[in-house]
Amino acid sequence: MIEIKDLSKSFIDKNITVDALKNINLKIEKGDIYGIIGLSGAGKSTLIRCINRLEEPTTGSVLIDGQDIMKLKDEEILKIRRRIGMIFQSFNLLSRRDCSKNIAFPLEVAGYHKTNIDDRVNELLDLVGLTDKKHSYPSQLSGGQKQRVAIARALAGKAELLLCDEATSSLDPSTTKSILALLKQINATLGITIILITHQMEVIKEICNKVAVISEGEIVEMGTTFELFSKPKHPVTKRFLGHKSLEGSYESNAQGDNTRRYKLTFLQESARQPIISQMIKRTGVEVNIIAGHISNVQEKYYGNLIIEISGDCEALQKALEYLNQNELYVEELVDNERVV
Amino acid sequence: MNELYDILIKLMNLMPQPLLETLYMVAASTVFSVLLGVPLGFITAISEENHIWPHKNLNRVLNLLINIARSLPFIILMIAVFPLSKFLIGRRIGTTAAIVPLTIAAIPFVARLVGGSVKELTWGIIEAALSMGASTMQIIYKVILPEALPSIVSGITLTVINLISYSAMAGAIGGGGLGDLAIRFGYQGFQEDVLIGTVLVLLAIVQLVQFLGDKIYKSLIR
Repeated sequence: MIEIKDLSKSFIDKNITVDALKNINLKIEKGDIYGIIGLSGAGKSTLIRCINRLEEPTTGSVLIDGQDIMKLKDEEILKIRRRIGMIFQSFNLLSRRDCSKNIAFPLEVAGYHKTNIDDRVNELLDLVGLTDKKHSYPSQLSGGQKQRVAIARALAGKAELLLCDEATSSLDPSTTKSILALLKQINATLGITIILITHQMEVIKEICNKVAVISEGEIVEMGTTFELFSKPKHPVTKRFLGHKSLEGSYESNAQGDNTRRYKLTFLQESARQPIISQMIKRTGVEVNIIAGHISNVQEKYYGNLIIEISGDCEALQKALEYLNQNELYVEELVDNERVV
Repeated sequence: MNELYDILIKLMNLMPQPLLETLYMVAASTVFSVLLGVPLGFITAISEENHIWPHKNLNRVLNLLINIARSLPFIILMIAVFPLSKFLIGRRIGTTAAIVPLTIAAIPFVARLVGGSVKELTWGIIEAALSMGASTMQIIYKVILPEALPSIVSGITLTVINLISYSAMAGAIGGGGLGDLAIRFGYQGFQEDVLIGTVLVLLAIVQLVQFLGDKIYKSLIR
């Protein structure tokens, strides 16, 4: 288990202090695929590098299985890094080593015996499906193949934790899918905990079970992936999910005291019930459906509906109460929110 | 026809000794300058602020020394190192003595080129090695040296060619070699045939060095 506590990092650039990370607190359980999403410059690269101390945080601690890695001496850091694999956006393979030698690198570094290295390399080539590319050089491989070699290399020393730094950002969509599938398989079969940073919501949606949103050096929202997709709260999260377009897609022509606009989120159970029609029958309000869609995150469904309800004060009040009674997530949309 | 034959005979008689001297001077100074310049180039590169072995003051001192040595004209340097040549070789002038200034001129040149080769490596591959728990020494030997090798080979090729031209100047302090031949027989002795012959031989050597250098470079690139 990894626990990040009150982690902050500031740089001094030309006498100006820049806070790259502000008071980060995260808990990553064993077996998680934990996504950290943020725009470039949000601090996510710095954050992931604090976990293996490629970056030195200014304050705070990182506990790996209870051990504070900030207190480790230089040689101990080298040892702990051998248990943490890392893959990168630009793969970072050694151009003058073939695939097998690239995968052997961390084993050589850790002082493995040559015969053990050979066996382990073959095992890993098999795991990532590149046995036939054993003696190919990186320049002869496609982007996806290079990332597979990088994954094999990262896992070579029996890593328990894999850090992914924008691992799919330079790959095309179908290659991205296959790399994500491989990561998922590694997580499921080998029980390796994965922490990944990305700016692509699809990556989170595809494989992460938990997610944290980082903006300007701060975690602004976190939770399970389903929670975050179905009930995003922070504007940055909503922007990542592209909600702006849905909510702002309609200019109301009936703005007035007697009209309210709501965004309803139907989670799994509530999606099966005729809630809107029941509400109309019971309260006599008028409902105008503005937009809606159904999405699924990792086989779990949720729906969003944007409606306008008109009626007298009392009826509106009743309607809202009725909606809240059901397992719905109700959010009133006011004009200024639509322009966010 | 007969005249050309005579020239060839003359050159064949004159050439071997200075040619060997030139090859000797260039080969020896290349070996020494690579042995000393490559590590120096590595140290200047990795001691930079954001590299794997940051040592700010050492970095400044080394850069200053390299710049001083690089800014001295070779002809001045040759004379300036007389005491050192005397100390190391036992003589101030002569072919062997000329190896000292040639090496000293080439060391900072090699160091600059090698430093550049190291610094232009993508930081990502070094970061990846760091993430795998490689020590500074392991990164130098297993990552930086092999990855920068093709570029270092190009640098050495350039150095050899530079040394060929410097070694011609070494003729001026009794270093012998092809430069000396060209000056004494060709220029001062008004024997244009010798002058042209020497230039042609030098040209052939430079071409050959460049060709071999490119060949090795290509065999290293993957």
